[in-house]
Amino acid sequence: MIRTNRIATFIAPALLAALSCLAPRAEAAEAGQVKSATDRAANWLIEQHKDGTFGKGDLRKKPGVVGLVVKSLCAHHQHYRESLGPFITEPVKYLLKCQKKDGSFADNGDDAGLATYHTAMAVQALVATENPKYAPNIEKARDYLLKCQSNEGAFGYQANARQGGDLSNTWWALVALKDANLNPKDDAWDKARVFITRCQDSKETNPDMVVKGCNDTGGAYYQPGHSEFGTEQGRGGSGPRPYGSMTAAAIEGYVLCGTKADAPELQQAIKWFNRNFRNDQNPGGGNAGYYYYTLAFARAMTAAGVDSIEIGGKQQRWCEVLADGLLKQQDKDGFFVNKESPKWMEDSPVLCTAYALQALNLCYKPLKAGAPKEAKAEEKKEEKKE
Amino acid sequence: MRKTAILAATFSVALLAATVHAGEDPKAAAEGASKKAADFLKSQANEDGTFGKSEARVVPGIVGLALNALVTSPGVKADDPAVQKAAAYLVGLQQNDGAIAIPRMGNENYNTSIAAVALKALNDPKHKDVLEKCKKYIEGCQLDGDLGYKSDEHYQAYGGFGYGSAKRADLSNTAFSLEALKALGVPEDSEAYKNAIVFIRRCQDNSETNDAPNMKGGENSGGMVYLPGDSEFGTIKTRDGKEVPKPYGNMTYQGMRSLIYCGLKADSPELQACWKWIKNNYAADKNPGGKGSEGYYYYVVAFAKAFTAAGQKEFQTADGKTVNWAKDLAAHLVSLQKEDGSWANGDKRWMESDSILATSYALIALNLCNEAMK
Repeated sequence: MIRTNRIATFIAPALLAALSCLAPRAEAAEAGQVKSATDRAANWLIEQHKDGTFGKGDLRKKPGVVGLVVKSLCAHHQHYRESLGPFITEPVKYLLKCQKKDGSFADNGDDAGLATYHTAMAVQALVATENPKYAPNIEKARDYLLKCQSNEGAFGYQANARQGGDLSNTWWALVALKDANLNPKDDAWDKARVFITRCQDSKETNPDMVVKGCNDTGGAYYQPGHSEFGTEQGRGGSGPRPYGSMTAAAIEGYVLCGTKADAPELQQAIKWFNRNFRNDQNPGGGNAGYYYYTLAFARAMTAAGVDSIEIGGKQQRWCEVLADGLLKQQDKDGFFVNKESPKWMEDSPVLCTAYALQALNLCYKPLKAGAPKEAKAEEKKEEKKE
Repeated sequence: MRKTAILAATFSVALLAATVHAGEDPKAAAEGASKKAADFLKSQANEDGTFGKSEARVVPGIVGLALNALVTSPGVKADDPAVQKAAAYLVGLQQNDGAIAIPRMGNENYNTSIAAVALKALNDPKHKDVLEKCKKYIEGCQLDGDLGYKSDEHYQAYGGFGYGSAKRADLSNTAFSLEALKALGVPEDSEAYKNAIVFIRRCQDNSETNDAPNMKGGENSGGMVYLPGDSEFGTIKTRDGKEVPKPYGNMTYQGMRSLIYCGLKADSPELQACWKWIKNNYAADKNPGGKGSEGYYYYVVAFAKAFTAAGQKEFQTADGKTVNWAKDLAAHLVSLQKEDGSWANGDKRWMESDSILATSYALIALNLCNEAMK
């Protein structure tokens, strides 16, 4: 419960952080700037809270959106929890009201069209509150999610689908199953792993890749043989175009399924970013899904334990560069919104701010800790003191 | 050879410093130090009402502390240009909602509370409306039922105040806000104080009066922390191996003074517990429970204001020594003052390496010491 290593804020740190938002930004964001950006984003989200939901319009009632916001606040460096205010307790109560008998989460007017997505987000939020009271709710949701897995190992938007499914829902479902402590030996993991390999542009590991169109880039796309961004012409012919958000989803998906760090499919996906990483766009997809991508990418690098990748020909810490891209997009009032593309509901500032805040929370951790070498030296110092 | 020379030189400088202080009457030395400090602050006054050259000079809270330091200095007149310009700067920053703040910079409640206390100390009738608006704004910042907070559910926040836009209560901002509300004449029977007591109690390592689940298992030292379950100086291990947030001087003195403002009597278990901690941890030269000199200048203000509010000049510490807080603190502050009249913390935490901030804190405390030594 008690956190010793947090940078405390009274008087000056908050003032300094506030001032840093006025200073010009470097191409690599610094810890103080990122901390200040997370504070402003969190404060903005908290201000949007009313009666358990955030913002305006019908989207605010979606448990997936409420879950994303709650998780973004719980993961913030100030560790927002229920005991700190109604902006956590009320949304959590709202989520619990949204849970159906079968364990899934949906709001009343919903046709349950996105049940997997909503349920996965709600589970993450409930787990993030660290309140043991919600264990039964989480367990029911976990059982529901398991029913959503198709024979192919994929998760789609709904339960009991024999076929279909996509990498996005699969990834989120896996994240939620992990948060809900699904047994690592459950065969859901291996089934999902096989599905992910079928979404990857890889000669070596994609079992479908006898099919034409493999360019062996290592990137991933939405479904076996299908990208949301059309096709790409490469040396191997014309194939589904891999893109950033799905390649990141594949990376974390692999890690969650227990894939070893040196496995070729995982390594190849990470290397895809050496050639394709961008901090201003979802690479391969342009502006569409940019905020979703920033979160997927930050999660992927964190899960894979990667600190730096090749960006523009040199090794750079992804946390610095990704955060820099996000900071340039932040509105003066603290929120984020995709001004270039409304696809996947990214015209919603609440949704984009929740994605961005989660991504920035993940950038802030390694930034605060310093580069790995420094971090190790610090650890040694600490040991000596004791 | 060279070493000896350096040693000799160091020695003679130290000796000289010691003679100067030893030869002077401590009261006169403290009064002289106050005058020098006020002159330093005046020399740093800018045309726009701010002080110094640092980036942080625009922060209303910092201008407010400098203004408060000048206004409480006996030799500084109310019509001094530095005073008038600083006051005008703060008034000019008042927003429609009453906050004295720079839009989008955050920390609205912190800035407004400090600015209001400084303006109130000026006692100028032309600030009546400005201060009334400040009062309303600060009252609105309390995390209470009006904002949907419930005492049991939100036990880390209920009744407290935070920085403003950041909705997280802490004892430091709670103390600044209560000081302002008290100064602005919020009546003693107001709900604001009753609700604040709930929060302050939960910051105290005292099982008799603290019901916060995350404060259980402490050593009943009576000391206070930043917010329930959370200290700025980490945790301590209790005898039975449990980790609990570490109480420290800054918060204990701020909490004690706040409880007095909220109307608790000296014999209340909460204030008795504060005294227990103070008698076991009395120090004028460091923030007890803290680390090195971190936050020392914030501490001296908290220390001097708490003893002033308690009305106690001398008392016996746990080891039987009779101490006079004003004499002890004044002597230490005089010894730390720089040639130009300023102070600065060698440690940069909480911005105390900024000489405007550190000098303002030190001067506010020193003026209270001088008042108590009269």
